Amino acid sequence: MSGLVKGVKKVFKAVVPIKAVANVVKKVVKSKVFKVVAIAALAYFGGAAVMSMAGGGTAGAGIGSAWGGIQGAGSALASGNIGGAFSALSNGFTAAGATQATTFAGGQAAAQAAISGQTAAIGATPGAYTGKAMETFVANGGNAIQAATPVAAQTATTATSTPGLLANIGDASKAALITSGVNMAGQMVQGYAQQKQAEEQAANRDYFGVNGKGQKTTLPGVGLLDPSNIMPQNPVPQLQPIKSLDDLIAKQQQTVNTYQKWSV
Amino acid sequence: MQQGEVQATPEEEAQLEQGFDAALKVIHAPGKAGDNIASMVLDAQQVQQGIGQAVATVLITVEKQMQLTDDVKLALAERITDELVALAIQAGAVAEDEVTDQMTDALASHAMSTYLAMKESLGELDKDELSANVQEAQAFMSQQQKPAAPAQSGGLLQRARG
Repeated sequence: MSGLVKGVKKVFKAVVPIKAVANVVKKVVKSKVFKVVAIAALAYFGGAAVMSMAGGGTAGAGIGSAWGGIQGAGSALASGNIGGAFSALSNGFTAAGATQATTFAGGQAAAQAAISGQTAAIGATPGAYTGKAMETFVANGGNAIQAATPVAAQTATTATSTPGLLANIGDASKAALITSGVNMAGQMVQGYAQQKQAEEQAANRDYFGVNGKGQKTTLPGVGLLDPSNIMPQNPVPQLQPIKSLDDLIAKQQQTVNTYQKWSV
Repeated sequence: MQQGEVQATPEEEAQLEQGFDAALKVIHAPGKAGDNIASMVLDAQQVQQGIGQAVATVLITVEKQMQLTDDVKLALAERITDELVALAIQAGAVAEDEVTDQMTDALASHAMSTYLAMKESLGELDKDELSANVQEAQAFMSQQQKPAAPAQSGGLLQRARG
């Protein structure tokens, strides 16, 4: 990927092959945000991956935990679920690469039909489809989004979707926030209230006579032989601003090493 | 062309065109390939996540067919994203109004993280090269943030709120 950063400044002519979907406004290329975000994402996820590998782990663990740090446990990637992508890689693309150009139209129609067909199922009543994926999609708000007006749909999508690195942050602050060490600030804004509530609930909860702060509660004798914090090395995760790569390393290690190691 | 921008060479233009041509074959080919792309977009928890994963998948597939320089790779990823977004819009999976900078942000983030995870899983992630690139990216982002710095004040939350 060396030279990736250089690519941000490189200007290409418009490449619009005849077979591409040309009658829809190409907003991504026009916005110029993609390249900057891609570089920011490289700095963030790549940094996490390098740190994770330096600690003897794999990049996947670092990327997953970094992603989890931003988005919470809801992300499929945070749980390492990239099986779909690998399935696609190993299942059909070899043949696709050898496909002749004359098959484009049919292929495009097939791809659109596949998407349209499933989308039509979303628009129908829940009983009109049987696919598990569609059920999940609708359960996650797809049906509401499909039926809503454009403005309402955007609101619904915002409410049900997971924002990226720069969500809810002003344009002028986007670049600065990513690598200036306050890239977790977006997360703080978005998830602060929920995390605070979760922390308080965890701190007030008793397990075997010990609360989340490691203090003995008024329940002596409850639990095993010697009531103690059963996971002393795993305190309630605290939200901390990340100011340096060292902080990032610490966070990755804290996230990765959340499970108690039992000694004999 | 704006200040600081560099015109791509004819070779790079040709490489991008060939790469995009190959990407279109992957996306629009009949059979499993197109179905996989469609399901990747629609089976994901969120459309932008699915598109991000699909972008990384298509990009890696094209990489296996031809050599691409990294700045071409970035431009190609951008165009693949546009193509998949356009397909999703045509299919009604997402409204054109929803394709905002915020969505692009999420798309690119998903695409990059998936790309890195897949490259690592394929055993193609060079730690030293990645480390150098991360430093390069951080230096670039530091340059980007300088003009905005004077306008920011207060704590992290205030800065985050813009």
